[in-house]
Amino acid sequence: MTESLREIWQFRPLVLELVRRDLKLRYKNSVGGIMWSLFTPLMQIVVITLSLKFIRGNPIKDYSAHLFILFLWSFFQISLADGCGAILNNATLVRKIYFPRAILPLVTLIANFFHFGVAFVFTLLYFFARSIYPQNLRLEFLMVLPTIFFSFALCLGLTYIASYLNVFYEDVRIIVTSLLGLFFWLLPIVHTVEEVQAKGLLDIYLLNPMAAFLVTYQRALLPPPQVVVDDGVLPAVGIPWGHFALACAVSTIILVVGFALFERYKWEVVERV
Amino acid sequence: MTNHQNAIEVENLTKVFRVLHRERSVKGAALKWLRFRLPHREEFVALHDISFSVPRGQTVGVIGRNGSGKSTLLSLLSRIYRPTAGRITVKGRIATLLELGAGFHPEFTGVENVFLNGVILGISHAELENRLPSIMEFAEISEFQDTPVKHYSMGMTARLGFSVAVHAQPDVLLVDEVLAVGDGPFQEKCYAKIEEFKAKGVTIFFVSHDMRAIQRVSDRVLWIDNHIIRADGPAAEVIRDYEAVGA
Repeated sequence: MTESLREIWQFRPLVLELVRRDLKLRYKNSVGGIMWSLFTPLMQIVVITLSLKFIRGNPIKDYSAHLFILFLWSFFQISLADGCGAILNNATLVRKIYFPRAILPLVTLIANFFHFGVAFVFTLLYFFARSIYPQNLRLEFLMVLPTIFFSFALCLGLTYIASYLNVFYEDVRIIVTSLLGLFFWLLPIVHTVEEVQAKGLLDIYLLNPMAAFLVTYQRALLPPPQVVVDDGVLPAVGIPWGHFALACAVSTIILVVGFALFERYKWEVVERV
Repeated sequence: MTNHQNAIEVENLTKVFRVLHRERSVKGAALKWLRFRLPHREEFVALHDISFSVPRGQTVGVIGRNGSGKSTLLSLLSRIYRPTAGRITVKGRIATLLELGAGFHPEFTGVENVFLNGVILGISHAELENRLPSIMEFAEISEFQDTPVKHYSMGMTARLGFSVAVHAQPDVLLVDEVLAVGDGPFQEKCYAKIEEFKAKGVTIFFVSHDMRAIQRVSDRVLWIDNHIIRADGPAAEVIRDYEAVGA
């Protein structure tokens, strides 16, 4: 496995070139270019904010800012959905040229991560423009980095597994995409963690690594929102340290297992595409 | 048997493909499994116990009927497949031309594809920057270098692919029947390039059905028939035998 890693490292110019290809291709004939990647999550934020305003009896102040965690979820969701096809979509390359196959899922992720980078900068600019920052900028903000890092690791591990399976069973992509759609409802987006805690379900809720990451990310960016219900204010939930550590461990294991699985079957994959 | 002068060494190489008669979807597999039908497999021997070595700088032509295993051999040499048994050693930088514009993206322009393909072949971005004019000039498409490759003719694509490969300055060049589509003058240029490579000591492995081309550039010919090496020797002799069988 160390040899595989070394080889991937040697092929980093190819990784860069393929990432460049991915990005160029996506925005080849569009005027807005990379800014389009912000469009869908932003529309989601607007729609969710507006609909919650009508549904909730006591709207949460500045809830839209808390919804900016959608960009991290978008990155995860789109990368994994795209990543399923990482091998199949590059069948012409895989069949005709040698290079370490493991770079293909990595390329999809890096290209999407680039979009996340743009979105992240946008998030900061927006927070400053709305004067949410600097007053809400706290030391916890540093937790943003490990959260992003381990979300990436989890996504990469799952992409290795999914892209390998997708070569053998082409509907894996469809299954993964619908599962991702379901998981959206298990994240602190249309509801707050405070409400989950009030129902006594927080410990189970946070076993989902992406829920743990998104809660951590949300609390790192901003202090907990004030969730007002009929009989008062719900107790705030801070960064769930224990669950975060668990999610990091799970992500690391999934990455190692996913990569090992991919490496083990990479030759069969080539004969199959 | 290891020899420092050999660029390619192949020992007892066998390649078996497993043809899996399996469902291509989770849904299908689950349905099948429910009916107690497990996937069955069939084996297909593409190459059987092949051994040969190629000294550095030799040009080897490979001939044989369709489906005899020539292309599989080339894919194995370029590390796309893993041998089922036996060993392959190839020394130095390999450039493979298995298909016209493999790795070309139709939406990209000629220049963009040169960079993509060049990096795949192991040329650095900076090196490519320097060699770009020469690559375009050799391919004779300088005029169309900013046109997406989807608008190129077969010949233009072939020329560009060949041009990038030869500019990779390989130690070993593997070519699979890709020159046939170029026009006369371009083929002439390719053969001149191959001869220049021979002079420089590049090892060339060349699959073709064009006996004249094989005869012209090869020092030696491997005739692969029915998944084994039927003959291995001087070009003229092997080609004569091959044509005598009426292939």
